Amino acid sequence: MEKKLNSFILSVFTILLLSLTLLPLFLCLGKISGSKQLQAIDLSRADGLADTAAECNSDSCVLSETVDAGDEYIRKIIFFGESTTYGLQRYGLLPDGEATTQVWTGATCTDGSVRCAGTLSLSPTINQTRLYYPDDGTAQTIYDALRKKQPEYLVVTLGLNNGASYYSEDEFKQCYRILLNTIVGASAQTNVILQSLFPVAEACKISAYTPERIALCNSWLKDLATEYRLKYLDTASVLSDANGYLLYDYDNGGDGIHLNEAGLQAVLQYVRTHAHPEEHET
Amino acid sequence: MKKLCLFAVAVSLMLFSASYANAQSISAETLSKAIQSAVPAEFGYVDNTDYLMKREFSSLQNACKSHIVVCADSTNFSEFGVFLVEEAKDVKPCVERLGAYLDKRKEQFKNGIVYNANEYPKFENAKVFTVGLCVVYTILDPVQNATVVQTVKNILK
Repeated sequence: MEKKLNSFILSVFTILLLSLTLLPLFLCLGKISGSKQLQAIDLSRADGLADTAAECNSDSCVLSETVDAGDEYIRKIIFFGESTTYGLQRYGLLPDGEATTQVWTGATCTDGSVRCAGTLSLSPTINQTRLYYPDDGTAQTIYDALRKKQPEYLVVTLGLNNGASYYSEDEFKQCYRILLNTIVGASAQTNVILQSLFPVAEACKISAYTPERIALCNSWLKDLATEYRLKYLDTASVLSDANGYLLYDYDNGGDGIHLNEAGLQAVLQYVRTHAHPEEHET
Repeated sequence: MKKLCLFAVAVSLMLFSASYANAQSISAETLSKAIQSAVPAEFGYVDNTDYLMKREFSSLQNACKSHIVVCADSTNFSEFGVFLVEEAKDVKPCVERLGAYLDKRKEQFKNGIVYNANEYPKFENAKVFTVGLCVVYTILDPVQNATVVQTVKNILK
């Protein structure tokens, strides 16, 4: 009896040992598959698609003064940007007023309901940020939104958040290249215009925002416009005083960053009177 | 008595191997998915590993057997990173590096805050914690932080 019991225990022990040896192997084979929700940033596309800019130097990329292209031109533009752009909708300055579908900025979701966040930040994940797509009230990536809309013109005003605050030149441009590669990939026929960052008021309390810093970021934007053979809109030139601060009459009197209605009207006037060359050809 | 000892040894070995197998099979990605489920973001999380490993955490590359950093999209500042180091001696340098990164991000946000002032508490409450050889940092609100700690502890216990 004892012999049989010993044999039994020995058998159990052997089986246990074998199981323990094989268990890690089975666990390694049963890997969990990747989440569809997590999307990797494809940095391989972040080196820029443009060749060296033989045809486009930095001066020719700057949109020069034209005749006033009027509301007809404005209607063809999607204004994509951060809170400084959102003011165009808030003040109802575009042809459809506050109901305009021409302003694209970040989305937010509250209790399952998608709303416009009114803000957006330049970042390495900008291509996967959900923006508020006003045509149907959904949250879309810039790629998906552009694939749907295929606008004739896209004015991009992005980089005060994060960018002007603390990004190095390399980081700033890297994030923009991720964005621009996405834009070009989504809608190659859209004419992209990089608009300068707007100046901030002297009273602005954010120490990072100086005229020198904003001018530096704008020079990087010009470099990117050259690199990608896009156009650059130097709107800051009509918004700034002699010291590079936002003109007092254009300041909304709040944080020193956001323009009032008069300031945004000046922006739109500049856009209309510095129209993209494509508009002259139509 | 002998048989009892033999049985006890067998059971101990079984328990030890089960937990060893569990630890060996856990990757940073697995932990990351569990955390994402526990503290979901509005529109999900985005893998930012390549970018941040190159720019901020390159010194940790060799010490980590797996790592992942994710963040919410750029309308909010939620972010976390999971680093599984190879050896116990690698834990402290990892903790220090991540702590320095959080200090830097907090300063950047404070200096450049435009909107999202309501996001600042995430930086004030940012933390680094360890569970064995797993080092995690979070830039989340305090309730989410507690959830993440508990989630990781539950998986790695």
